[in-house]
Amino acid sequence: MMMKKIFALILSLMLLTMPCLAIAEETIPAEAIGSADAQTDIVIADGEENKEPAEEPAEEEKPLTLMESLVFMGKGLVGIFLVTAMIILVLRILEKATTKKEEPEQ
Amino acid sequence: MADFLQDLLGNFGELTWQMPIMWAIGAILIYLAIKKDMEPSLLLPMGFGAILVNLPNSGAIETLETLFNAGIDNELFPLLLFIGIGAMIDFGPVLNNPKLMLFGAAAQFGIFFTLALASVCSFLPNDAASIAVIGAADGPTSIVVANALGSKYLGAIMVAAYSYMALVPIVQPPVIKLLTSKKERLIRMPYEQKTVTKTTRILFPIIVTMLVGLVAPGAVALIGFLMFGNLLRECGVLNSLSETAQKVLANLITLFLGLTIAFRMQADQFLSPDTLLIMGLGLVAFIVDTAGGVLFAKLLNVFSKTKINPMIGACGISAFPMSSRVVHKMGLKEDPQNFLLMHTVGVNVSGQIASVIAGGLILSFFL
Repeated sequence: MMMKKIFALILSLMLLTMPCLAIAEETIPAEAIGSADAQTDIVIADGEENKEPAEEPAEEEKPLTLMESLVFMGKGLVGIFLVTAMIILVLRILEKATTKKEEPEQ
Repeated sequence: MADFLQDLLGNFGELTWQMPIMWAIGAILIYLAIKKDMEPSLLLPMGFGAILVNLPNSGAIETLETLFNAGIDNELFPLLLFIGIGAMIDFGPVLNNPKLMLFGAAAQFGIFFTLALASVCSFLPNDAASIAVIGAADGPTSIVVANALGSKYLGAIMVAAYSYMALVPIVQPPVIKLLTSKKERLIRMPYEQKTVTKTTRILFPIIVTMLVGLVAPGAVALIGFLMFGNLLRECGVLNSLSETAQKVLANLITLFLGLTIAFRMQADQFLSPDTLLIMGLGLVAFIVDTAGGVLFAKLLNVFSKTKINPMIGACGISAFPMSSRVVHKMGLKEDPQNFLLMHTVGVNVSGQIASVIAGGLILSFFL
């Protein structure tokens, strides 16, 4: 009975947080989370004909904002609990399957 | 004569003020290892290595760099160590009562909390994530994640991770007492011994590897090597390999690991205000991990008729078996008839799995 309550609790928490995470991801600009690109800007000395065009200024990598961190926190906890719930479920099935197999043999 | 003295004593002139500080740090690690018996297998080599790499023009740096490139940079040493750790772990208590795994999951809250805090402290995402994984309380996971994310704070992260793992008996009890009442600490949890079949014991490592690998592919190496070691133990037909993994392999890798990590403890890399901040954040990670597990147990008590002693939630960190022993002793202190050991061990070993899952998720998010 307690197991059912626990699973119900975890499932409901996941169902509640997933839409919130989806909404949060939509509202955070994608470029806010990303790595900086390398920048090369070759300046040719006077007298030379060829000049490579300068690339766009590189985006400096910035620390995560609080909202981004909370999104990662939500994703991480949901992920861990999801995997844990799956493992517990599989163990329950295994336990029943291996116990049933041993009982007929006895 | 002057030339001779110059040749002999010239190296003294290369001493910088940071080097004696690192010698002192090395000496403290060695003292903690020997006198206080705090994770001696790692703190002693790290302490000695810190001295080796902080001598002027040290010839050891090149050798340790070779070892570092051979074993840490490619994550080989921590993964091989995980085979030994997997072979040492008996997952029986958690197979006996699988719902204990939930506490292992809850106790990883500190990792993500510390990620947020490290970001507020202006660490870049990869560094913040690497620092947060100190909360996994698992050395190999911390090394693999910090290395894979290219964090420049590997030395500080390692010192923090292993130091706090050794400080669990000091860090956890005050947090547990603060969050629980006397009545809660007296809750008894009778242990029901169930037969765990050999088939379950053999299938468990295989199934966990596949499940975790499907959700967090970045964790496959970590969870795979851990579970491979456990499979060697449980299969029953490879006893010599299991023993080798538990003793020879684990000791050999531990020997190299501690010494090699010291390569990143050169003064110019290690001595910075960031190192102190990382030590502080590591402590926060451990504290919040402990709090997360305890509070989750209290939350479950609201819904369940069979009460859980919330102290066992604190064992969800990966510091095995230290944390389980600490909480069991706290339980005995409150009530000499309250034997929580099998529950605390079950939660503790599930914390090992949960910490690897958390590390893999961090890698998936930030790689």
